[in-house]
Amino acid sequence: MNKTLILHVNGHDRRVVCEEGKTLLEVLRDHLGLKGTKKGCDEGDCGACTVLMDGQPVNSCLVLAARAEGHEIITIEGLEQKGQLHPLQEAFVEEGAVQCGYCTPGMVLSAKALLDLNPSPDEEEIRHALSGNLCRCTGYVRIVKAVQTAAERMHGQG
Amino acid sequence: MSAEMRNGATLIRRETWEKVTGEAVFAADFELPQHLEGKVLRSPYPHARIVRIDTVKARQLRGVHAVITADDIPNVRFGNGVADQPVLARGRVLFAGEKVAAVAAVDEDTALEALSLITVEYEELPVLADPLAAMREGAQVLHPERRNYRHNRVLEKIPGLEMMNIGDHARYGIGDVEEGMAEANIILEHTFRTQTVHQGYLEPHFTLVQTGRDKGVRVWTNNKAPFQLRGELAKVLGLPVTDIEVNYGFIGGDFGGKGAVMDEPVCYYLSKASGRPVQMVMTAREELLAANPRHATVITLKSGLKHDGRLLARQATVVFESGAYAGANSHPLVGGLRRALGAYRIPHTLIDGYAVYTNSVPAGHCRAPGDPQVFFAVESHTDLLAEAVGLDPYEFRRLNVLRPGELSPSGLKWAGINALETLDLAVERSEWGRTKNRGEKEEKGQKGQKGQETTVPPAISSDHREIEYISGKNKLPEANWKTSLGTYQYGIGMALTERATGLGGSAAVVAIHTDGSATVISGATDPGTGSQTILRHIAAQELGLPLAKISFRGGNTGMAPYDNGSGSSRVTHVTGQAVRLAAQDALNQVRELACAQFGCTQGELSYDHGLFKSPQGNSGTMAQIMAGSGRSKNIILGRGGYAAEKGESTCFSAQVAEVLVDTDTGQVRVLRVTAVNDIGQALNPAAVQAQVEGAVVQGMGFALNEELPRVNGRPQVQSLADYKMATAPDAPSVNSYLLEGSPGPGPFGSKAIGEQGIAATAPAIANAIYHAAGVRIFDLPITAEKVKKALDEKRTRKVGRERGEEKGQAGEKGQAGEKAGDRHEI
Amino acid sequence: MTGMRFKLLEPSTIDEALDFLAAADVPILAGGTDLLLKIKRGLIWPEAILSLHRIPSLYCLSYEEGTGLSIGALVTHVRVAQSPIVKEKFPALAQACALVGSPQIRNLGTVVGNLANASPAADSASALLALGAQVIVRNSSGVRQMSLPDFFLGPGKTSIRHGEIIEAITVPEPLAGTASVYLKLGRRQALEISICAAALSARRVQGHWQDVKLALGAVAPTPLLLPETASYLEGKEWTSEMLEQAGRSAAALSRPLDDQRASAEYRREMAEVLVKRCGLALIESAAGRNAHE
Repeated sequence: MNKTLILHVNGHDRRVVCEEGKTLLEVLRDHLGLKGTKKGCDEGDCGACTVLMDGQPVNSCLVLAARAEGHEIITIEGLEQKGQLHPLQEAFVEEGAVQCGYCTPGMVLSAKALLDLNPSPDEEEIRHALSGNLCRCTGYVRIVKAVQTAAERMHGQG
Repeated sequence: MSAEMRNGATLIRRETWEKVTGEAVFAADFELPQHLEGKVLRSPYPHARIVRIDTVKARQLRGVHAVITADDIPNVRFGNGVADQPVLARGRVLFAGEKVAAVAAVDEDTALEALSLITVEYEELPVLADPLAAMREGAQVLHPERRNYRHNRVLEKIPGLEMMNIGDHARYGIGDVEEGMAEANIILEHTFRTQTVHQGYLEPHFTLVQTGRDKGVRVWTNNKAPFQLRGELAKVLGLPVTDIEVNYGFIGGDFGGKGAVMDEPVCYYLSKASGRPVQMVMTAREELLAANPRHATVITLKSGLKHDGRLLARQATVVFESGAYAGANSHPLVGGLRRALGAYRIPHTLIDGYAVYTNSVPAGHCRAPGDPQVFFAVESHTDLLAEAVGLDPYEFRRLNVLRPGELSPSGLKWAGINALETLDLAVERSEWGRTKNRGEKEEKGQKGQKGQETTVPPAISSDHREIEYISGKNKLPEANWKTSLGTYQYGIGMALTERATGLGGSAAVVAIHTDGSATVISGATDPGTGSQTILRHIAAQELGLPLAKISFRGGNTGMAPYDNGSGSSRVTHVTGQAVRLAAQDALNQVRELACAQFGCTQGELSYDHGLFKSPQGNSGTMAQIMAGSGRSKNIILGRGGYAAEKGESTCFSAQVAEVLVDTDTGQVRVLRVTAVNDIGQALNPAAVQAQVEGAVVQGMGFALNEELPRVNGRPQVQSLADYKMATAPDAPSVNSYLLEGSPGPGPFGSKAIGEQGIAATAPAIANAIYHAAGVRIFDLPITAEKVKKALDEKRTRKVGRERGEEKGQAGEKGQAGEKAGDRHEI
Repeated sequence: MTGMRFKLLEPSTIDEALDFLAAADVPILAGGTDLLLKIKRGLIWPEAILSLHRIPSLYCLSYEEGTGLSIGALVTHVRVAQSPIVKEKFPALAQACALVGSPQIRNLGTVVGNLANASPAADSASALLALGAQVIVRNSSGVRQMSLPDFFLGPGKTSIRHGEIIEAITVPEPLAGTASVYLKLGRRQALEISICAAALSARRVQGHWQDVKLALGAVAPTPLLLPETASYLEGKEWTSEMLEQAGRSAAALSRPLDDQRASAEYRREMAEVLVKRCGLALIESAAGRNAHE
């Protein structure tokens, strides 16, 4: 049976008609055309599907679309503001923290959630915040560096 | 070469902007209207006869458009080196996870429901689970019809072997190993086992196949060697190559696992049967069950050496477990075989390599196929040999490592050997020299005790350049689990490995546009390596244009020239040279235009810093020459092709790993890895180091935590939750150093890096664990449980002393023939 | 019906939920990290599931001085892990919740849901056992309450009956001087289900330890409360040898299984190690506190 939902995604209300069992991941990708959120393991073990729900990272493969109604959803596409990339996105590029790019959307969002709560995390805190986002290409080295660089920039230090 | 390159400036990849915004298109982001979802029914049994398959109910389910079994498709097998794998199991299944039937339906749920309506009657057959057992004479033969398989590579056929499960056998060696052993003072033999591991890419296999009357066959895939795929599909489907077109975009990680034919033939037959495009995405469970993981191995090394530590002889037996089918490999025997002797001077050697069929998942290529397995054995063995002669592991390696001009122990004449510099740099840049001796605290500046001199490595020579990347804070982190209060032992270990620069044949085109900008047209794929950027960079260098003026186009086997595919550490070398030649060709054509405009000869024309000049005083930029050339400017198209059949270039890699071992629980924490890679010339140093960093963490997973075990052929790990890839808190600091100066065959003297960073990590960690806790594990992964068990045995074992004496006695000349064969496990 | 194709019931009150459950026994969805996974893996194929997410009262995490903590059915692990009150008064629970899965899982998964899933390795379960938690259950007749040991019956089995909903978990106010700790052992630092876990709670009174409660995870068909081992430690000043003895006692009482993650023997050995380390942690925390006083 189908449900009609109003999902608040990247600052806009979007009307979606979908089956009740659809996950937020499926709705984002297949109904709203937001392909930036990736389907990895589909079981909450890799983090490639991470989106922010009310500012907190969640595995969208484990969230029913109906559950997401009434909450603020941010996907990777929602980070850019009026053509201006988020400092994390810039830092990821500059520090070489992106190889294949499959983990990147989820990774950036988890990092954003961290920096929004904790503007000056140490290395351990960064790794801990990213512990639900697997990366197979980078060994996490430059990802950690990118988050540190972004933190410095966002915190207003030169 | 530009100043930019000489300084090793970081090249920002243009495609990275797309990746951080989510715009980058991966295979599954593409869809065709009216496509159907395909799903596969897989055998739960590792070895069984298929008695009956009943698909009637499945076919009747609303929304199902096609159901196929082997009876519905031609009797064809596919495979790279040998075509031994059926599209759908025919008569028998040979591994748990093998495809038995397939359906195409309007959506995933319907397809799954259809699968549940298919009943298969199996008759279980005895399971061949162990490759050693499978090799023995009299073992049941898994491929009795082998003689009829299509072989794309020549296999060495040895009489009698065809009736056993040995997919291939090869032998290498120099000198006379019997003579070498006879001269040895000490002989030691060890057997190692390594496990099946997955490549671990996050993006699962994706296949979409469209067939149609006039469309030929169109495939959308994340296969990283689409031209090879096209060629194999042509053979399997019995179609001309020109009828098949493969489309590809960004690939979410590969590490060797996306180079084989996977679901394309099944999707093709489903598409033919249903008349609609059919797509299949492997689930994580299917990836772990039935993709093409790394070969498990059994490796026996026997070495003879002198009392002073010089290696005289080595005999190696390497058994690769192919699993049920060997077709995912370019050759049943994967390349690592030759590495069984290491980067050492050994005058008498003999390697026997076997690829063996068992009732397990078909193994395929996984980052540096064969190398991590073989080097785990070789470099663990090396430390054991060092201990037997009372030498520090570094000293032992320095003594035996190959010097320039020497013959490799498998008989190869390598051009440019800087193994020693690579090793020395790793020691110098790590904590090795300061903390090697046991019982010493990890404090900087302390010298060695116990009468062993701490070796000071020589300085790096001036024609070698070193590029450094230090990761993280590099302070030793807190204890393992945040709230645990254990006792930890610190240990440090090393390993030295080598791997050839990859070979292959690729073509490329460089088009120079009417405004003096250019495009590289190449079939190279990008699984995350940044290949597009490197190829643009190479073209930019040749054309004397800024990087921003060079674009890259590919994406489709119909429109891009042939490329061997990403992998084998070959893209920079092979495709890079093809691009270089194509750029040179294009440039020559523009030179002709310039000559015509300036009225000078080719010999008189110079091109430097983006400016053409004639002795008569004419000059012009690329853009200016093009602008002044009438219609001739429309047709500037450079072509390049590069085929490397054989090569003598190898890349050395040395790593030093530092660990903490919790002796109460056996848990191992890798703190830091110092990695040095002999790189020839780094075209994009940051990208090179980034690959090393990733490789080290993969190597750590191979060493400690990753495995896909099967018990009697039945898989034990079914979900990603139980396949323990490193998370961010697990990963160590990685300090990576690139050593330039020993040129390779790639553009501007480059070598390779894709696979050169992974093999040294596991043995370095194993050696560090031994240093920390005095236990050595001979079978991977080195789990906490194994370490704990070994520690308990060590504590209670009284014969520990006796073993030490036994070793010395066994090695005496004259007794070598008897006791030397004994395995010495410490 | 197969896979993720089900009717979704979304009551807005507990009573409405109970009405649905009276009509049909459907699985209950809290955070989704367990139930949705089971459905995706094809372990269950429900025709309908009942989601609690529209019931506001179930989100309540509250503390009342003298009474204790109340964790509503929809309270996520992250809220418990980060709550200053929980960190201060129920540290074992905060630590356990902080070690569940990953940040994403902690943001979605609920403590109650984790308990209802009844895995012997559930992190919060052993911590809650050691803290003397109670389960508050709502059914059509009203409310009933049970202690956590009575709640767990076996792997995946609880004493919740058809037509019932767990409304909350309560944890009693700890007496002054109580400290607690949770230790988890696994193969990696995140996204991990314990191979062995231990939770210890005890109160420091004039130089010795009282009200000792010890629980182990992943070494028995259910999370395991060990009153015998606790009574051995009761009323004593702990030494290293005593803690080792307690560890041996706990290991002997555990009934672990061999599985792909670890062998039974190793689990037993780790139980011994963790029990001792829990004791050492409490000693250390008491020393730390004394230093401040």
